Amino acid sequence: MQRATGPDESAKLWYDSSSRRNAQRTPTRESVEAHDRSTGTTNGTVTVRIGLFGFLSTFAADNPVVAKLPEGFTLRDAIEALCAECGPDCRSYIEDAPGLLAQGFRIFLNGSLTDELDVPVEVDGTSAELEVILVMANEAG
Amino acid sequence: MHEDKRRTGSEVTGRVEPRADDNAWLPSTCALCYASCSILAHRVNGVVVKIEGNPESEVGKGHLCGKGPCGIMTHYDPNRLSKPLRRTNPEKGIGVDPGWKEISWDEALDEIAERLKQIHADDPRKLFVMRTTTVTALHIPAFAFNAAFGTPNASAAGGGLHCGNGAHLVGGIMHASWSIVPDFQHCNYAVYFGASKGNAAGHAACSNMTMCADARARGMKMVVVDPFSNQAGASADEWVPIRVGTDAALALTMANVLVNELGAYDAAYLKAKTNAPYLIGPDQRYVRDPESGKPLVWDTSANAAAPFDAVSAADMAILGQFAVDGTTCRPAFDLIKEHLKSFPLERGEEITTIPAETIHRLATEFATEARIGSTIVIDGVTVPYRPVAAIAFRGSQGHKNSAYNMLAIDLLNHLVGCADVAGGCLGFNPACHGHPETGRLEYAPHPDPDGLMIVGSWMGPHAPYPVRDPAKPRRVGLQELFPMSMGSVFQASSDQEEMWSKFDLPYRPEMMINLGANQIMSVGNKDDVAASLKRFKFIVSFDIFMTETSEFADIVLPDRGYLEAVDSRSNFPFIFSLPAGMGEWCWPIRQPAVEPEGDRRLAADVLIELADRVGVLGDLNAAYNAWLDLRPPYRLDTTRRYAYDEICDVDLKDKFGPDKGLDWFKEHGLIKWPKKPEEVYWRAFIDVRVPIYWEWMSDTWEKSSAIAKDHGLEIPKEFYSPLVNWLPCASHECERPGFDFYAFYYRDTLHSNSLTMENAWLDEAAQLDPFSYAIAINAEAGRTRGLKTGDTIRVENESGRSVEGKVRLTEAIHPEALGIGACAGHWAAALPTAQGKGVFFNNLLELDWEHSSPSNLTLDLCVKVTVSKVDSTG
Repeated sequence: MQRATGPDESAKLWYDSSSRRNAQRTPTRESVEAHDRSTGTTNGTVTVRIGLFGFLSTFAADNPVVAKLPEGFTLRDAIEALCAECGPDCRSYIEDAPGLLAQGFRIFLNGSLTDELDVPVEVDGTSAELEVILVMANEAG
Repeated sequence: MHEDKRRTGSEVTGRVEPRADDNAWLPSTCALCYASCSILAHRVNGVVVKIEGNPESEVGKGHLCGKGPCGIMTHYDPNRLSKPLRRTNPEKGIGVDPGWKEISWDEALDEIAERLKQIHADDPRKLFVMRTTTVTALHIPAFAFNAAFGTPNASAAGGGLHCGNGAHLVGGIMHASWSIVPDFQHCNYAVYFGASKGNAAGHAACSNMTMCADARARGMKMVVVDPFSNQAGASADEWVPIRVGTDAALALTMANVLVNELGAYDAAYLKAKTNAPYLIGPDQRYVRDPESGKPLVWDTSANAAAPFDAVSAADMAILGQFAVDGTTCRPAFDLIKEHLKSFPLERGEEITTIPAETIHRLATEFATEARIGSTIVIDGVTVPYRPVAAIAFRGSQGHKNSAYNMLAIDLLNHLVGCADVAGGCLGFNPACHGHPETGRLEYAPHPDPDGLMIVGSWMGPHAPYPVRDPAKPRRVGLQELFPMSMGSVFQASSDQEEMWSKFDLPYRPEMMINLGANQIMSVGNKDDVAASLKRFKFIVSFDIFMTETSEFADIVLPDRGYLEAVDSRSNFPFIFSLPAGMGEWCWPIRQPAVEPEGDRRLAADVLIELADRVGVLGDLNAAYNAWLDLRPPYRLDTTRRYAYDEICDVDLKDKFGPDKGLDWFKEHGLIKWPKKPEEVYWRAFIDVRVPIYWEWMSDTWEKSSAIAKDHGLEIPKEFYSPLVNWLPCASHECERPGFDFYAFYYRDTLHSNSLTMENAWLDEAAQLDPFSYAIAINAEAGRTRGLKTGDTIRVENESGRSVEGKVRLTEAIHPEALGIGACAGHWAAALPTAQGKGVFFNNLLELDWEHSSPSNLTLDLCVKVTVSKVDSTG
C-alpha cells in the first residue's frame, strides 16, 4: 500500500534518526584515534603471529612476524608491534596518518576479516594468528 | 517452441557437455557492457543459437539491449584469438607488423613467469596491470593478483579515463553509492544532466530502461539537459540544450532560485542529514568543540554553541551569524545561501546559453514537484516522499570541473531533501540488511567522528570519504597527491616522465599485464598512449581479439569469452548492476554455455598459474580472502592451489550457505530475496550526514599544494574551495579564431566502448543509424559553414590533432557543439568488421596535467575544434 501525505510530515522522520537521539552511536575522535590501554591490568602474555602477504611481505625479515603482547591486547597494539618490527617504510604503507590505517589495509584475526581495532582481542589459549595484506583501490574506467 | 520451454524452466540446466540431443537454456550473464544483464543462452548441439534476457533476474529484468542478443556474433567471430602468440619483431608502433608466431601455453607461461619473477624480486611496483570495465569477470581476479604480487599500479580503460572520478566521488560522498538514479517507481520529475540512465547504456542498463519506461508511462516528466539530444533527450519531455561543460553553472543558478527566491528547501533534512548547521569559522574550517573535537552547531533553544551530536537537529540553526569564544562564525548553509547569490539568472544564461526564463521555470518546477515535507507509506513503512531527482553522469562529470559539476547538480537533491527517499534521487543500493538465511552481505553507511557518512560497501577498498591527506606520490598515477582521484591520466600521459621525475618516483613501470583493455583507443590520443606503451619493456595481453593495444604486446594470450567462462561475481554486487528502488536483491552468476574453442584459457586461472610459478600463491589466496571477504570455513588455505571455479564455489557457499555452491547456482542461475523500504530508503533510518559544504578542501589543497610546490608543480586553489562552484574548462578559454565548436563524445547505445565495433550485427545496425558513425553538427551552424549531411570533414584541435568523418546535420544538437559517438575508428587488421568504421574522437584529447582536473585528475573530455570540409559526396 502506498499513500502520500501532505506537507510538513517528514520533519519528524528526519529528526528522529538524527544526531542527539543516537549520540551514543557516533564514535568519539578519541575512541578512533586512541589505543585501548586496558590491557595492562593482567600479567599474561599472548604470542601473536602476524603473517604478511603481498607487498607488505617485502618488509619482513622473518614472515610471520612474532610478537609477545599482553593479554587483552588490541589489533591496534598488534599493528603497532608489526610496524615497530618492520620499520618506518612499512608503517608508511600501513598508515595514511598516525593512527589512521591505509584504506587498502586488511587484517584477519584467526581467519576472519575484522575492522574492530580497539577492542581487546579474546584469545582462546595463549596465541593468536593474524594475517595482513594491502589491497588496492578500485578505479573507474 | 524454445521460448516456451525456457519460460517453463523445464530446460534450464547447468550441463555443458554437447550431446546429440543437446537443447538447453543456460542462465548466465552478458558481458558486452558492464551492466552485465542476466541472460539465458540457448545451446543446441553444443552451439549457442540465441541469447535472451533472463526473466527471473532483477539484473536486466528479463530484457536485453540490442547488444545482448548480438553476443553470439562476438563469440563466434572467426577473428577471435585461439592460440598464444609471441611477437618476433622487437620494434613496436602503430602500423608495425609484430610478426606473430604461435607458441604453446608452456612456452608463454615460462617466459611470462620468468619476467614476473625478476620484477617481483626487484620491485613489484614495476608491474602495471591494465584491465577493462567491459569484461567484469576480470575484476576480482585482477585485483587479487595485484595485491598478491604487490603492485599498487593498476588502472582500467573501458571507456578510458572518462568515467568516474567525479561521478563516483560525489556518488560515494553524498549517496554512499557508485552512481545515482531517479527512484523510477515514485519519481514524478527527473532532470538528467549529461546522463542517460534508463535510456541507453550504463549501470543497470536494461533494468533501468524497464523501470524508466514504466515511470514514463506512469507520467514521470523527464527533462534532459545535454548539448545533444541523443538517446535520453530524444525520449524526454523536454530537451534543454546547454553549452558543453557548464552543468554546474545551471545547477547553481537553479539552486539560487530555490534558496534565495522561492525559499524551497527542506530545512529539517538539512539540519538532520547534512553539515548545513555546522559552524564555519573565518578560516573556512569547522569551529570545533575544544574538548571533544567535534564540529559545533548553534543550539537555538539554548542560544549557545554545542557539539553537533549534543543538540536536537530541530534546534540547530542553519542561518545567521554567531560568536563562539570571540570568533564570528556562520552555519555552512548560511555561507552556501550567500554564495548562491553569485549565480543570478543572467549569469546562468551567459555561461550556459540557456535562457534565464527557462532556468527559472526548471527551478520552479523542481521545487513544486518536490513536495517538501511530504511522506508516503510503502509496504507499511512511512518514509519521506520527494518525487523529484537531479541526476548526472558521464557528460557532466568529464571536465576539469568534474567534482563541482557533480556536486552542484546533487546539491539540488539535498536542498529539497530528495536524497535516497521515495521518489527522489537514489544511490545504487547503499544499504542491505543481508541475506535472510545467512546474514551475509549486510552493510550500511556509518558516521565518522564528525557525523559524516562513510560508505558501507564499495567494490573495493576505496572509500571516497573521509578524504585522506595528500602525500608524496608513490604510484605511477600520482593518486596519493590527489586523494580524490581514482583513475589517473599519468598512466599514459605525454608528461608522465616529467611528472614522475618531478616527484622522484623511485621506480619506473617495466612490465604491463593487459587484461582485455584497448587503451590505445579508449584513453586519449593514440600517439601519447602508444608512446606510453612503448616504454614498457614487456607486455603480456590477455585478449579475445588482436586489438590495437594487443599489437603492442610481446605475448598475447587467448582469453575465454563470457559464454565460455565461470564467475561467482558476474556483476558488481550490489551497487553497480542491480537496479535501485524497491524490488529484489539478486545475485546472478556466469557459467559456461559452451566449451572453449582452441587453446583459450580463463584469465583468472592463468593468473593463478602465474602466481604459483612466481611464488605468490599463498599471497593470492590471502588476497582472495580479503577481496571476497571469505570467512571460516570457506576461506582459502594459503598453502594450496585452487582452480577459479573452486574459488567461485566457496564464495557462493560463504555468502548463501553450504547447499548453495556453484552447482546450485549453475542450475538456478541466481538467488534473490525481497528488498525492504528501510534498505531502499535508508536515509531516514540511518544516522549519518553528508557534506554540502566540503570543509576538507582547504586542508587538502594546502597539503597537496605544499608537496607539489616543493617539486615544481602549481595546483590551482580555485578547484579546492569548500563552496561548490562552476569553473571553466580549457575549451571555454580558447579564443583562437576558427575554433568555434566544442567537440565531445557520447555513448552510442549500439556499442560498448571500442569492444563491440567488431560485432557484425551491431555494425550493421550502426550503419543504419544516422549518428553512430557520423559527426553531429547543428543544422544551422553547419549550413552557415557550407556543410551538408554526408560531407567529409576534418575536425582539428589546437594542437593539430585531427580526425575525419561524415557530417550529419541535425536540429538536435547545441549550435556550438560537435558530437561523436562511442570509441570508433579502429585500424587493426585483425578487426575487419570494425576497421575504418566511425570516428576516433579520443584522438582529439590531449593527455596531460593541463587537461585534467586539478582536484581529481578527471580528463577534460571537451575540446575546442575547427572544422573544414575535405570532400563532398553530395
